Amino acid sequence: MNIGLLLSVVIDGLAYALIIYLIAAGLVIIFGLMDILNFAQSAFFMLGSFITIFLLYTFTKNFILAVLITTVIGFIIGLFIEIALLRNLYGNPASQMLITLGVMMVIIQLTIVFWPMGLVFPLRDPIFTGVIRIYSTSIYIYKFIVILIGISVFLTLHLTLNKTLIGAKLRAGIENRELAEVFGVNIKRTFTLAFGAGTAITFFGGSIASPWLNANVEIGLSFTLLAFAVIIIGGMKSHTGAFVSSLIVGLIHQLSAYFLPALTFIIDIILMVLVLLFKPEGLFGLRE
Amino acid sequence: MKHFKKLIDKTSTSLNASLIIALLFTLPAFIGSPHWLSIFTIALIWAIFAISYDIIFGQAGILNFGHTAPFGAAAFVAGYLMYIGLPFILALIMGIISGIAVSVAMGLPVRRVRGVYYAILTLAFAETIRLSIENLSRYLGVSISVSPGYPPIVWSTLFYYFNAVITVLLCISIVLGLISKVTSLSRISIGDLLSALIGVVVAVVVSLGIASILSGQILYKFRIITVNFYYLTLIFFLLSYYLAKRIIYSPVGSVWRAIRENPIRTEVLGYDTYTYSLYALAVSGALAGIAGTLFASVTIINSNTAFSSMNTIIVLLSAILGGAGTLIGPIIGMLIVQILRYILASAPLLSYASMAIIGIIYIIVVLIFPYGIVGTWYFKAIKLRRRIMKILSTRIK
Repeated sequence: MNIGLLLSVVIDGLAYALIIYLIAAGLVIIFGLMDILNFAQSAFFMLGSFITIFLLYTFTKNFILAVLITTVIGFIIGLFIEIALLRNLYGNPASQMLITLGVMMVIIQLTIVFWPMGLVFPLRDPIFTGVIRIYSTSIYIYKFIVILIGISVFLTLHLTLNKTLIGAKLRAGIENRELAEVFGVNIKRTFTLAFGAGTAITFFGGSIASPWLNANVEIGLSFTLLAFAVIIIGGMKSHTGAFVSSLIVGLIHQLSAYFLPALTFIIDIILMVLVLLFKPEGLFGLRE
Repeated sequence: MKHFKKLIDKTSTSLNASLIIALLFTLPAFIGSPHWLSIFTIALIWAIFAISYDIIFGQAGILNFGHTAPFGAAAFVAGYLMYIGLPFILALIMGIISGIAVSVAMGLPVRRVRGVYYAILTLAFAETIRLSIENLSRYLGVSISVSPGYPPIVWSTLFYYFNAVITVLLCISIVLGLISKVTSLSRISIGDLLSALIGVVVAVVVSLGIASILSGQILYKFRIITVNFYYLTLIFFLLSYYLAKRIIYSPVGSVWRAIRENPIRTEVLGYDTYTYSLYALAVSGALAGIAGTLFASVTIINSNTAFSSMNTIIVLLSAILGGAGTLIGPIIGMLIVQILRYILASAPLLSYASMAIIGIIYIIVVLIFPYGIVGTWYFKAIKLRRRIMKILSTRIK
């Protein structure tokens, strides 16, 4: 084994991990505040990459603009789903979870109807297709960009959650919903905002991933389980836990994909099952 | 004479059930095309799967997202055994055993892992099986699939006439039930008149169907294997329903519902909730095994048809649609979902969007009828019955 291959795998794993993190961050925020396991999250991710590529084909050739538009669309979709569907079922997390399952099904099936073969990322700029050669192994430049974007999203979210008023409200809601409401946090508006933000982050993740993974239906589905594994390993309500465990899962996933291709996914799932059996609250979760 | 009277009394109480069963048995006589009969057969197989899901989800309240695993395991095992030429009944038994084994294995961590966590764990379990099979087939370079075709019993004319005889017996029991109902009444109310009228209509319809079946007229429309496989599925469906109903209304069933409502209180009352949860998983695994075995006869079984999480989503969706925990609700929900799926798939514009439309219907049902169609009907029915009783309390003398 040469060092170039190992480096390439590690970079690949990190980029993969940060894309999983972008899905898991939304999941953690939504589950932490609203107790909804959002099954539609991976469908949102998939839809994000489809919308970005669709915009690049029809509307604009500017990738950054397309990403911004996709994120805004995602935020609006999140707000719409929260207000139209979930708001009627407050206090009934099981039904809300079932609603998100239905939303997932509708989104995936409609995507299959509109784009049955998936979409290929159209731009051929050097930033998307260029490679860096290290130790005779070539690594896509774009993977480094994904890593940078992922880390900056983590830092932004971390600072927002810990240093701003909205973050304080969100954390209060996650800690104790009733008490936060008593202390004057408008919990309904916070819920709506959190769901919109979680959806927007996931759409953003989908559009960031689109130059690398293109857009097809299977991608969204295969990320579902990984994102669930991440939030279980990290602790269902811990944002930092989601970040760290997505690094673990992403690296393990790509390492196993390179060196033990027959056991891809299965190793991640075994890891998740071990955490579930021996530390059900997750590595970073609080014991209830 | 005394025995005869006893028999009549018994048929009278089970009149409604025999009406429905007789209609189901004569259904092939009234269906126009073989296509629709096959669709209804497949819908019935899925309905068995829905019954098995209702036992864990609706009765014991265990949120299982990997219920396709026992179904798929049974389909693989039974399909392979049928493929190598074992008799159907042996394949069925092995299918049931493997269904129970997988279901109970999946339930072993249920003591530690609960609720949403258990849902994710089971989802992961089913996906692991699916991905292992896929990886294995990629590794070996062959596609792992099995399609044994119909079991040999569907070719026999004897089985066809056996079903015809059952239909005749059912029709006789309907007539006896009607007679006893009419004779035992001292006063006649509107409700009794109405049910007697429905009974007479159904009896006439059923006897028309019997004429068509006994004369062999329906064999001009269908091949005998289509009809016989429908009867085979129907018999297993009725058996599963009966079994599920008996278990649900037994003491074990009430412990399951107690666990669903409040596991801690049930534990404190001295019931071992873990063992009872495993019982629920075993029973539902057995029923899923029956469904899987029958499913292997109609489809090519591979990792995608047998272990796809879409199976679980469909069965969960139909349970919610019909009303989880009502037993008849998930069956109705599943029949609606499957038949709607084929209607939409044959419609010109909607053909690709069929599952999306079903998803939208499902969302609307969760929003508007949170207890499902049958569950909401039950709640409404209590009020309705009271109102009707008030009207009917002035009886016709």
